[in-house]
Amino acid sequence: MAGNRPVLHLPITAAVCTGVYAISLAGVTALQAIHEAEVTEARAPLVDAAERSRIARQSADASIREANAALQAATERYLAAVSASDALDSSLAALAQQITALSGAVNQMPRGGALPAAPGAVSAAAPPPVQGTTGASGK
Amino acid sequence: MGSALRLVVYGASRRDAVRAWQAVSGDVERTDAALSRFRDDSDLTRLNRGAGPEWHAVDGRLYAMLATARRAQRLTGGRFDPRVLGVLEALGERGAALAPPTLASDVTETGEWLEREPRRRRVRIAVPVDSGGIGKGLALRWAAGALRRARISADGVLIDAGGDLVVEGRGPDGAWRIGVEDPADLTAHAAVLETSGGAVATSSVAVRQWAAPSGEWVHHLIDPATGQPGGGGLQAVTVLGPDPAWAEVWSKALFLAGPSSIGLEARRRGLAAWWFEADGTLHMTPGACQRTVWTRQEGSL
Repeated sequence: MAGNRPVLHLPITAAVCTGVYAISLAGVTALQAIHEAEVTEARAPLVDAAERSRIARQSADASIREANAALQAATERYLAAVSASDALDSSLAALAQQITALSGAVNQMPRGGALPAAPGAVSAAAPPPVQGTTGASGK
Repeated sequence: MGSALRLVVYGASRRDAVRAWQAVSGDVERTDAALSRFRDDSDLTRLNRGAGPEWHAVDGRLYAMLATARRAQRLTGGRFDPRVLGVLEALGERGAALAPPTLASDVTETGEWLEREPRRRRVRIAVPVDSGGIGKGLALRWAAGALRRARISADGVLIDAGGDLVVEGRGPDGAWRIGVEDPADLTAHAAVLETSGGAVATSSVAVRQWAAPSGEWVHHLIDPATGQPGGGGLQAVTVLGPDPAWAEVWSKALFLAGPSSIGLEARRRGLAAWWFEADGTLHMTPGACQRTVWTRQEGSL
């Protein structure tokens, strides 16, 4: 009987150790879960803020894209306006030439036939009254 | 500044009008004491006499003028450059006496004519500089600010410093009406514009012309690119803008662009500008056309 005792103690000791280990493991796991939950809880505002920041950035990206498209459209309209202005310049130059030619023709016409003065006529060329004058300065 | 100062206050009591004049004239006097290159005792003259490798603590207005001038130089692509003072002096338009430059170049070792230390409000300039083309505009800007701070009760004000003007509020007939001087006849207007706020500045060679030591007939609008009087073919350029200093800068820069480029440059920058060619022809940008209520002749866009 005395010779069998170590044989019986060994499985019991192993079972006890395994049980203690399992209980310790379960405790550590539980503590870890609690801690992770706390960390998750603590980080929640940061995660939310990061998400809001991501959404805001996407919104800003979209706004920038829209602004860029608007800028491109405005640039195109501006270039078209510049072209139109240049064309207008050319037209005005041509008109000026025609007026010059017309003035020459008018100068060839007889100078007689003056109309009688219209009483009470107001000169359209009179400048309106001004409050200030911009011009050359002495120094 | 060597220019007459005139103030028009509309819709104010006599007492407020007097207060307005005191605020404006006092402020312009302070600017003159800081920026005039014709005064022997101005801050600018003192700085110009110390041009070179030394740093100088300067008055706030002079610091602001130098910083604005540097920015104007960048924005106008170099058409505005306060270093033309040397050319003006050589051509015979002398201000307060200056010492000869101590640096061989018109920039310091950093490649800049101006270096600044904003915190200590210190500067160093490589060569003497001119406040022309910006000083009067700054004087008007600051005088208008002084008037606002004085809290004058008025419907509108107009400050006129030798042909450059700033207006706020309403005039006797609603908007303020400003005549654009005819450079061929300084007693007459060639156009009249209307504005209820902003500034009008003119660069013209109708008055400041003289015979240089070489005998050549010259004027004061110097092209920094050539070191000679510029804008050949133009008589005067007027610019309307929100700020008097920048209106003055752009009127000078556009003048120096010359008759072939001025229209395109003014339109590109969206400026309201009027200009007279040598034969007296008046041109204007679409922005200027909108503000024009009368012209002696048909202006061309």
